[in-house]
Amino acid sequence: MKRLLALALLLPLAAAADDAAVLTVKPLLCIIDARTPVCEMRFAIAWEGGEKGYYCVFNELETDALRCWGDAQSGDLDDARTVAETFSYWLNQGEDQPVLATATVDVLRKDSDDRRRRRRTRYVWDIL
Amino acid sequence: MRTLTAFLLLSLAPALAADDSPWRLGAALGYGERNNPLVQSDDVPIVLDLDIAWFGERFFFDNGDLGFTFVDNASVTTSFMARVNSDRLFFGRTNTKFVNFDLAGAPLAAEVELTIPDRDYAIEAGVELLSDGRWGFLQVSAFHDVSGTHEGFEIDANYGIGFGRGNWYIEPAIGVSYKSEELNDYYWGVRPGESSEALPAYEAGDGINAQVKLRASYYFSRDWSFALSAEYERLNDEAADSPIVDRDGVLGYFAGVAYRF
Repeated sequence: MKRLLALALLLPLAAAADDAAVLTVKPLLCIIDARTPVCEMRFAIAWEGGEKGYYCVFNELETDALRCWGDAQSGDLDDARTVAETFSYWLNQGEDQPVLATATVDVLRKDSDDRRRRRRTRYVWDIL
Repeated sequence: MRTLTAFLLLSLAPALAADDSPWRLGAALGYGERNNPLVQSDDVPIVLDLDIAWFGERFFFDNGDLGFTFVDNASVTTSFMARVNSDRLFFGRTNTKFVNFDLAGAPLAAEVELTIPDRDYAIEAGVELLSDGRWGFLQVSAFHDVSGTHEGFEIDANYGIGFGRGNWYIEPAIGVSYKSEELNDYYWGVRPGESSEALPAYEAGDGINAQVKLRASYYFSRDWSFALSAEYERLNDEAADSPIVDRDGVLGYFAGVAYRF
């Protein structure tokens, strides 16, 4: 339980790093349901590389890099998009280069294809 | 027992955590209370709430409720159900006292023992209909005692709708429950054989409970959230007027950290 609680405190930061490379994306959560089937989000993306160089930020939704920086050690950008599924951003040093850091934007779906999962019980407190 | 269940839940969680898993597992740790409307009774504390459910194609288990789904289409899901009656919950937390006054406040000639009558759990079977859409979520059910305990029935209707904003998700809900005379009288009545100088006999008729609930969650991530919940259930007049009842409603609240596996 302690491990889970510790994980909970770390999750909101949710920036993965490969040694010195850090990619931070905010926000990291989109909540959807039948009334709001997509999130209109503007992501603030920031990265830091271990040393000066050529860096690019990609995501799973597009084949091309969102943006690349030459001879840079850090950078940031905004990315506005409509979100309906979980996806990731990642930082690398160009197409087909190893991934240095990733950040995943989660989609929490509050409705369900199985409407029994939304039923309320009176037997328990029914908080969750 | 709850600690053991929580331990098993945490141990099994990784294997059950997949999105397409038929399991739905969760735990909330915090503090809350549910009022006990009975006289000489303790409120029901809530420190740990577990959510344990399994949904197969037809059969399902949802925190003590058992179901068999026989209609499932774009509009409705209908299931045969079995459950344990919820009214019994309060009777497990009553106390015996010696009193000089009756429950109306009138003095007694001598000190007498006042014990709240015991009541049994009832197994109830019935049918439940679920429907949802952009307009919200509707749950209508009808249950009849099949255990020979109260031999009555209950009809419930609940409506809820969710609103998301940022990391918050808020779900207000309202509901009504019609309780038959047999059910109401079994739990809230006082039989002549149970009555005393301090506790008069009472016969309860049928009635309708009304309920409002607000559930709010702030999600730190997909799995972790801070959960707030408040609920008020107004007892039907026949139950509220019973001499073993000193509150006409049940107020519950909870605040804590929740994890969804």
